[in-house]
Amino acid sequence: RQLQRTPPTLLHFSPKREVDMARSLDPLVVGKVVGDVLDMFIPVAELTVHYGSRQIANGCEIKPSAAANRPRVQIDRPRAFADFYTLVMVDPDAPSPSEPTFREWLHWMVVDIPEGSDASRGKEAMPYMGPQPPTGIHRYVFALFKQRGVMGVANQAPETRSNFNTRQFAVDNGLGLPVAAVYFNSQKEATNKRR
Amino acid sequence: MNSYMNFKNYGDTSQLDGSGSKPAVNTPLARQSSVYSLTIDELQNTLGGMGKDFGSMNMDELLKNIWTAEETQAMASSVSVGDWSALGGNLQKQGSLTLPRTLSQKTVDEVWRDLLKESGGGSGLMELQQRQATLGEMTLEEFLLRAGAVGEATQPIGRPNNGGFYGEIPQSDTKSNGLTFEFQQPARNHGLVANQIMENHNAVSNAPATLVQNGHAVRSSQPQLQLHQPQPLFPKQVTVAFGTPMNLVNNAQLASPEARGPIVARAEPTVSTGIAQGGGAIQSGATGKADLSIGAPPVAARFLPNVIPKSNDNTPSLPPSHYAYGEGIRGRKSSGAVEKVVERRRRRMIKNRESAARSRARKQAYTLELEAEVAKLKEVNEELQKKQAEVLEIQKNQILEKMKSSLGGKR
Repeated sequence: RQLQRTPPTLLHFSPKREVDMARSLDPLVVGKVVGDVLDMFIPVAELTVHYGSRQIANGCEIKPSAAANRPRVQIDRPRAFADFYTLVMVDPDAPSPSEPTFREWLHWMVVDIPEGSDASRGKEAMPYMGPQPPTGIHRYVFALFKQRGVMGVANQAPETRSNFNTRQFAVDNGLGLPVAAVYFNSQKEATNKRR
Repeated sequence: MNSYMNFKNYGDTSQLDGSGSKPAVNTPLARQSSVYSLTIDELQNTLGGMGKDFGSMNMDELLKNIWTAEETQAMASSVSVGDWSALGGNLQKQGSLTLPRTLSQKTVDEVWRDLLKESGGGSGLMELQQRQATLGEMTLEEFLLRAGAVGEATQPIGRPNNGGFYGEIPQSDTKSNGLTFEFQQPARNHGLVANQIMENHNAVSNAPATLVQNGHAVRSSQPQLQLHQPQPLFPKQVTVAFGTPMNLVNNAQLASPEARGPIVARAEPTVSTGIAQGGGAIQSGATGKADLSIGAPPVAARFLPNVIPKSNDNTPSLPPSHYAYGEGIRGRKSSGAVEKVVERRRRRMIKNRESAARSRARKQAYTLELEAEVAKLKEVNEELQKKQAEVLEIQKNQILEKMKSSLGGKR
């Protein structure tokens, strides 16, 4: 399955790969993900997120209904280390982009994900909650951190989803800067209600 | 030059915000929140020449046409505009104007001539074409105002959010700036042109925020449709660009505003610039605050003399009487309530700007992403094709080898 997804020529990470990764930063900066959620970082891992067959590209729009279930998250990293990763998914625009009083809303947290695999191989510290933006167009950010060893869910699981702080969480758990990030937009779907 | 920069900024924003900010230039009826700020020309055009030329139209007919236009506008969003017949039925309900008996029987032309006569002898030089031009460019509000039509319901006509604004302006702040001065000027009966210019200005653009306030102020006073002759200096500049005949008109009275020169044209960028210039001119006379703070009337009045000399012209100050008038009306409310409305509006504007900025950032981010993806895919494609070519080459060679060996064997 992985081979189908990855172009054969890029199975071995080439120098071009790093250029691509650097390029992937610009949308994150322009979309203010770097700023509102994350600090500036250098992408060193490749994070691919699929809702169904649809792969997330920065800033693309996904309907809440299409993101209701957990996505398939794949972590590829050059020079395979035996590292463990933490993935968080947050909404910095909750409840509304113009007044994000709940920033950030934690939608999902998975820790101890073995490298080169799916997030399903990790431990869910916060169950997946799909986007349910009440008003406005929200950004949903996936941020990947490299762990220093194994963490264990118990001490990581936050109590509430609201007002999560990714930066602080990274600091508190010695995660450092992110190694990858990607985000998508979502807004409330038109219900076509006739009054 | 902070204020100058502000003008530019607002002008820029308005451009970005879309054409909604210059309703009069585009489809007036569809976009204007009120028919009254349309110029008469535009109104005539939009009514599709339904009536005869307005000039020879009776005042009554004019009003009817206005009501029709209002109806059209009100229904434009929900129903097709072409449904004139339905509109006709609603004409009576929408009537928000009353005409003095004396006026209703006159034709528009006559009323216009009377108005000009009122404004003094300075306009004697006007030729017919000029009159036509100026009449056409006067906004409906202006014309009705001067003609003496009294509005029963001012609020619906004006822009709701402008309603309170005008009165607020004089009181919102202790600092005064050039724009305020004009508002504060005592009402003087200088006739149509000033108002005309003002209205045209309003109709044309809301670009600079300062002007927006200006425009709002103007509009809110206008809907009152009382018989007063405010002479806003500032807007005058705007109109000048619209109708050069205006320059010729009322030299005596309009000297100061006119002299500022044809700063503003219909084009949006010019408007901003012009307004900025005008604002700058005004600001130069004042303490030039960066934000549009509005001084108390006495302060403004005091500054007024300073402003005028420093402007391009040296004309007697033309008090925008109707600003003062409107302000007098609204000044009766507590200044606190008025300030709140200003504050609310400002906040709304800021929120809108932020939302627009977010939207632009969103769009740009996605574009960047797509471009990066395209570039990556192109590379991948190239490599794949190269690989494919190589593979084909190898296959070809293999076949050739086989053929050679088989041929050799047959021998």
